[in-house]
Amino acid sequence: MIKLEDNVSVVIICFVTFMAIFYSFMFLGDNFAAAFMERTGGAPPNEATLFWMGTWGYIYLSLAVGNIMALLVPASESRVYFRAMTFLAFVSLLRALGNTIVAEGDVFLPPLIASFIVAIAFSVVLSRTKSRAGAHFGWL
Amino acid sequence: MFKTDDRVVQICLAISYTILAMYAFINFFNPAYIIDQYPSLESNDTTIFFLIWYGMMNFGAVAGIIYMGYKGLDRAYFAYAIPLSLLFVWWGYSGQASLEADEQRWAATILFAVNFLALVIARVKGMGAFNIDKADSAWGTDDKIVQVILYLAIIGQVVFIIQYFVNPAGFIEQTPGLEMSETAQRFADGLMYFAVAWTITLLYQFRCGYSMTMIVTGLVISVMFFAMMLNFQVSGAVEDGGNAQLTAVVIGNFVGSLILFFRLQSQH
Repeated sequence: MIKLEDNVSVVIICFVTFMAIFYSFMFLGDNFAAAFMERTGGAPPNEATLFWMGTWGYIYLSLAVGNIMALLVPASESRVYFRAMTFLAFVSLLRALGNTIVAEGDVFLPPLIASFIVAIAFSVVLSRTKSRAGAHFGWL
Repeated sequence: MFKTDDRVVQICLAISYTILAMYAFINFFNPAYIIDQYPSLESNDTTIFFLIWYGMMNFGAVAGIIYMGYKGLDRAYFAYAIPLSLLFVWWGYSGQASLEADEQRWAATILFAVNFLALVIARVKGMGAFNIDKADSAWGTDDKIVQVILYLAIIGQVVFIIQYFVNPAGFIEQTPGLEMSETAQRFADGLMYFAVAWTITLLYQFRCGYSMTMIVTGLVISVMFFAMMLNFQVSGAVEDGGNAQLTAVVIGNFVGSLILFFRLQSQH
């Protein structure tokens, strides 16, 4: 059923998929989202904030489904997806890092740690499935 | 689709998929909508808890139909879905019939009945006789770990049913944060119906061999429950340590489903 050839990549993607599902549920549930905001030290979310957090929840859920789809096909069919996800994870890491640096008072580290883990994880998947863009340009 | 050219089968399963997916999405993502539609439903955390629970079970059934869409019809899925949909027709009917006329809402009951009919037609047209062929070994596999997990699964479901009949209110009483009411008890009755349906399909698989469709169905349900449980824990919404038995079952289902899926997936 799983067609992705590399077992390490399968484990990594399963783990990242679960993280995505966990965060999607957190952002989709108003009570969970409010608790998350409280722990990050942010202001209690109003209706508009909850709406946008919910939108992010759906995006996380879509990415989880994308990961599952990537498990069900050979790596050669998911190369562009892996590249896009690695870039997305890297940009998220930079943003989480920036937010942490400028944060005042107590710093809430889990988002930074989660972003770091996901960026590294997708980078490893990218390498192990030979999906790095440079590897496919014969003129380089 | 479903590895059949029979349009009736395809349409019936499309209808079932649509109904299940609709209730999965509404119950899970927007339980307030259901509460608004049914005057008999109290707007409290208990109702939302059960609606989300039902939504997750529906997502599992939806995953089963999607899996069959690619891999072909599976008798074990129908052994689960047909009894369950029939039980929920009864559940919906008895619940609404007990209400005052101005509080009755029949949409869900009618859709449950349509779902039941669609599944029966798909099963009869798509898979013929209701024969129960015996597999070469218990659960149709020699993998001891898989067999042990499936035995534990069936024992767990039977224990849940026995617990229900010993004390129908037990689940609500043992879960801090849930409030007892007629509606809440009716939702708890529904949980027992899920256990009955799982017991039937597990008994079927015990004789005829395991079903990857049901393993995928169980995996989707258990992953959603585990992620939801973690969210409850992390957000501090769990009162007084929560329901220890429920926590153990959710963790056990999650680990068991993962082991089953990864040990068997390469053969499918």
